[in-house]
Amino acid sequence: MFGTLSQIRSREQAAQLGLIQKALVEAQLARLQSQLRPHFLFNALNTVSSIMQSDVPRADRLLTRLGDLLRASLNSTESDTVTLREEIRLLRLYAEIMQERFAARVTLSWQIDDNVLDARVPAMLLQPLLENAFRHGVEQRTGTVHIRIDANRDADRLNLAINNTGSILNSNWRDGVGLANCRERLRVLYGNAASLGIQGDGSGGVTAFIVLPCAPESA
Amino acid sequence: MRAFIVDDEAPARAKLRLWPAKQPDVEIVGEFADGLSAAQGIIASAPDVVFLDVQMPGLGGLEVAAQLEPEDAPLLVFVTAYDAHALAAFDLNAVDYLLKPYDEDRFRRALDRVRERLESPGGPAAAVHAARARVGTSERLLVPAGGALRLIDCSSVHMLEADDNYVHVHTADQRYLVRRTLRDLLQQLGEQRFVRIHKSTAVNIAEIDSLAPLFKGDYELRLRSGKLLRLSRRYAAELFARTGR
Repeated sequence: MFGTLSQIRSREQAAQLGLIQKALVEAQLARLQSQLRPHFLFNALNTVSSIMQSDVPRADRLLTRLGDLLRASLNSTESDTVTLREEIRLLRLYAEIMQERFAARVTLSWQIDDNVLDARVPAMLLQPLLENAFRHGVEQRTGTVHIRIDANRDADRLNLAINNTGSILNSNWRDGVGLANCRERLRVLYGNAASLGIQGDGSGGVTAFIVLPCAPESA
Repeated sequence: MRAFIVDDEAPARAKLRLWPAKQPDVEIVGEFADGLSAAQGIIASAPDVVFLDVQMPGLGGLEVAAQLEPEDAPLLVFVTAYDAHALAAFDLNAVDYLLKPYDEDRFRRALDRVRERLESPGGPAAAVHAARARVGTSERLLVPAGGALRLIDCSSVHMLEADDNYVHVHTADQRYLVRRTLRDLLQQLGEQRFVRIHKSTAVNIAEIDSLAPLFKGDYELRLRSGKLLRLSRRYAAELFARTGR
């Protein structure tokens, strides 16, 4: 019933370990939540559960994309950086899943210069920006919304931008959780050398942009 | 039962379509990809039950529910990826709520609940009132315009005038005839914005320009548009209390 002292001790240690693990999982989940909203996950799962009724290979592909995205999201930490190539790959996974949901309501174009693919960027940095383009653009419109993703450099600056033709910038808009998170990460990683902005694009859409310092191109 | 399916995402609609096909007593008579056309469809063809997505562009599911005439409303089953909304739908007196993703068993249970409710009348009206309480006062109002329905901004409404079972909704340059009672409409639009000045008339408080006393406690009320109306003694005290005069 009471056990020996060493048994009690190891029981305490196990309990403590359990607590630490629990805290870790919670922290990871909190991060996941700030990157991939539950709303996104549940809708994606519902899409899979619809498509699998008629097209199993396609549902399987979708589920695999979702798995990839979740894994990348769980594995990345605040201070992780990845190549822009990897970041764009994850963005495309997200976009593919969203395209299954919204079909003809969204078109995407990717203007990614070759000379930026090896630049390092904070992992999952652009994710909230693309998510916003869907949430405030595509999901609010019955017509087709175009999303354009740009990545290019001039000298030692990396310019990243996501534009959507569907949302309107309210004069009293404020950062949501996703944007606030991005800003904070940029501040911690780059101080004043990086910036994030949201602006109306002058033709009825909204552009979110990030400027990062990057190593000059090697000749 | 005649059922509607409303969801802005095509795969989600395909899924809602899947299982009713196996039920001999269920017929899908309408499918809509946005709230406004769903509301039009509901008013035009009065289905028995609507499977209604909560998150949609334009009018969301709760907003659609709030626009319906309580006595004629269909039974509502809210379908949502959101937990918070699902709980709201429960308070809403919805027949049921389906959380995405859901399986066939869960869908059948929802259908069973719909069947039960169809046999016991009085459900839908409660759901509409609850939706209104939940959404708060509507910022937009669905009105017939020509052969279709149009959403107008409630702040653009100057005056509401009861006429039997109908209400004339006046804006600066238009007049719409809505088959609703004044009391029901005022409940939906919120009593903060509109005030009754007569048994059969209510005005937008923001549109009141001036008041001049008449005899026996009545007043002449002038709207900013220049229109003159009579404020009856019975409603004067409330109007003064509300406008701080």
